[in-house]
Amino acid sequence: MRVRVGIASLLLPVLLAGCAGTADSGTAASGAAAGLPGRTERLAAACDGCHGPGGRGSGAVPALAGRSATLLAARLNAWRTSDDVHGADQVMVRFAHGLSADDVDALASHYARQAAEAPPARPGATR
Amino acid sequence: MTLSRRQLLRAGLSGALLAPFAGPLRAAGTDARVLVLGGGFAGATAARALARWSPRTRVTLVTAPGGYWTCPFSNTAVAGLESVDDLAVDYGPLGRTPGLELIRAQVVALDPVTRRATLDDGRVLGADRVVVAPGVDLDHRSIDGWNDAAEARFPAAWEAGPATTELRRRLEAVPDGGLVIITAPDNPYRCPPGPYERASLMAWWLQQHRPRARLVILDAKDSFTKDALFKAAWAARYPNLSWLGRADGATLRRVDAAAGTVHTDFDDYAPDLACVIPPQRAGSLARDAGLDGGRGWCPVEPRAFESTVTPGIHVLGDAAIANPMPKSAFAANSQGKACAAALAWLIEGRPAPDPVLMNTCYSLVAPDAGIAIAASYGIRNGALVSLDGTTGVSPLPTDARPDVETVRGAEARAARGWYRSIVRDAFG
Repeated sequence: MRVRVGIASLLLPVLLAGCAGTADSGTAASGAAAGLPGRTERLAAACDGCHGPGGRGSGAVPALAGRSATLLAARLNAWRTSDDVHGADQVMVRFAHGLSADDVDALASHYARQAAEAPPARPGATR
Repeated sequence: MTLSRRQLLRAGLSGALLAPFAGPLRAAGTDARVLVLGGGFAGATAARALARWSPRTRVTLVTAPGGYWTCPFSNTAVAGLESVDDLAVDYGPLGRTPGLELIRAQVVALDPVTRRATLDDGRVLGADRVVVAPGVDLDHRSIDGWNDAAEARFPAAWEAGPATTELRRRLEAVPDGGLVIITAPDNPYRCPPGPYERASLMAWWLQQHRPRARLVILDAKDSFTKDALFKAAWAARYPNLSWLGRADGATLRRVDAAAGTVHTDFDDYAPDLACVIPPQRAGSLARDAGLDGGRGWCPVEPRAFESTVTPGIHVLGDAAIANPMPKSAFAANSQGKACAAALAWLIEGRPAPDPVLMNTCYSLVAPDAGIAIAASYGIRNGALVSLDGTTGVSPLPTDARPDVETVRGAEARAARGWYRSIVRDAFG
C-alpha cells in the first residue's frame, strides 16, 4: 500500500503526545495525574490483545513497539479512511474505524515510545 | 478517599442506579481489596491489569487447582495439528506478578451481599469488590435421555484438556465410510464459531485419513456467525460435510447412550462419533450466588461490568450478558481490561471512564485458511453497541483481493499470532 504522508502528520504525533486521553470527557486530566489508565493506555491495552503485551508482536501479527510514530499513524489513518474490506487487512480496517484522529496520533506516539525488545516480564513492575 | 454517591452517579454506573447503593468502595485510609474468582481469560486479564493500573490495591485471584487448557486453538488439537499440551496454561507468571496474590483452590460459595468467598480449604476471603468470571456450565436439560453414559458416549469437549484428547482419540477411531455428527446449540453459548471451526478441521482430517467418511452438523438455529464464509469454504473443500439447521428439523431432542443414537425433530442417526455441544449457562458459582437473576446468564452494566442484580460484584466473560459482544476469549480479555480500568478509577474516587472494548474471532476452515470477524464496542444511550463501521467479516471468495487463498492464508497466520499474543496478554 502506498501512503502519502504530509508534513502536518509528521508533526501531529509530537504535538499530541502530551494529550493522551483527552477524549475522557474532562476526567482524563485528573486521572492522568493520578497515574490512572487514560484512553490511550486503554486503547493500547485492547490492541495488545492481538499485538501482544507492550505491542511487541507475535508471529504474523506485527510488533508495534518502537516503530516510527509517523509510520504507525499513516497506516492507521489509511485504514481509518478506507472502505476496502476485501483484503487480508480487513480486521484493521474495522478497528481503525473505531478510532478518532486524536486516538490515532496518541496510539502512534504511545507505541513509538515503547521499547521494541523490552524484557517480557512482569506486569506491575513497569510503573 | 471514598466514593460518594454523587460520584457514582456521575460515573453512570447503572448498578448504582438500579440497585441499592453498595457503599464506599473502600474504607478511608486503607488500600482497596479486590477478589477475582476464576482464572480463565477474563479473570486472569482483569487481575493482571488491575495489579498494573492500581498498584496499591490488594488483588487476589482464585483459580482452580489442576490443569487449565485454552479453548482457543483446541480444535486444532482435535484435528491433530497441535498437541493438547501446547494448550496448557502456565500460572507461574501470574503467581509472580507484583501486587497480585494467586490462590489455587476451588470456590465453594460466594455471598454476593457481604462479598465473601469460601474456599475448599476452609479459607474465607472478603473484598471491597468481587470480580466473578466462572465461564459456562453445560446444560443438558433440554436433551431427553441425557445421563452419565451419554456424557461419555457423546463428548462435547467444550472445556479443553483431557476432553480434547479424548475427542481426538474418538475421531481417529472413526472408520472410513463412517458418520460423524456435531450438534450445535441455539444462542447464546461459548465461542459462537467454535462448532463450525471444529467441523471444518475434523472434515479436513477425515478427508486426509477417512476419505469416504461423512460429517453432518445438526444445528438448533438457522444462521450462525460467519455462516456465508464457512459454507463457501465447505462447498469448496469438503464435499462430505453437510449442515442442517432448525428449519430442516435438525434441533437435537433426544439421545440414546446405550444404542449410540441421536434424534432430532425429523431424523434419527446412528453415528460412529457424535460430538454433542449442548446449550449452556453461566458457571454455577455465579448462578448459585443469584447473579443471573434466574435467567441463566448474568446481567451487567456495560462500563465496569458491575452486576445489575447485586452491586459491588462484577461479572466478566462468558457468564455475563454483554450483547452484542460474543462469548469469546478475546471479548473476555477485553472485558477484563475494561473492568480493571474502571475499578482503578473508582478506587481513586473518580468516575469510571468510557470502556474500550474490542473483539476478533479467528476461525480456521483448514490448517492454512482462516476467516475472521471483528468489532469495536461502546456505550450509546446506556447500552453496549457495536460502533459504526467497525463490524465485519472476511471477504467472500468472489470479493477477496488479490484472491481468496491469499486472504485466507494471511488470516490463518494472523490467527496463530493472535493466539500467542492473547495467551501472554492474559496469563503473562
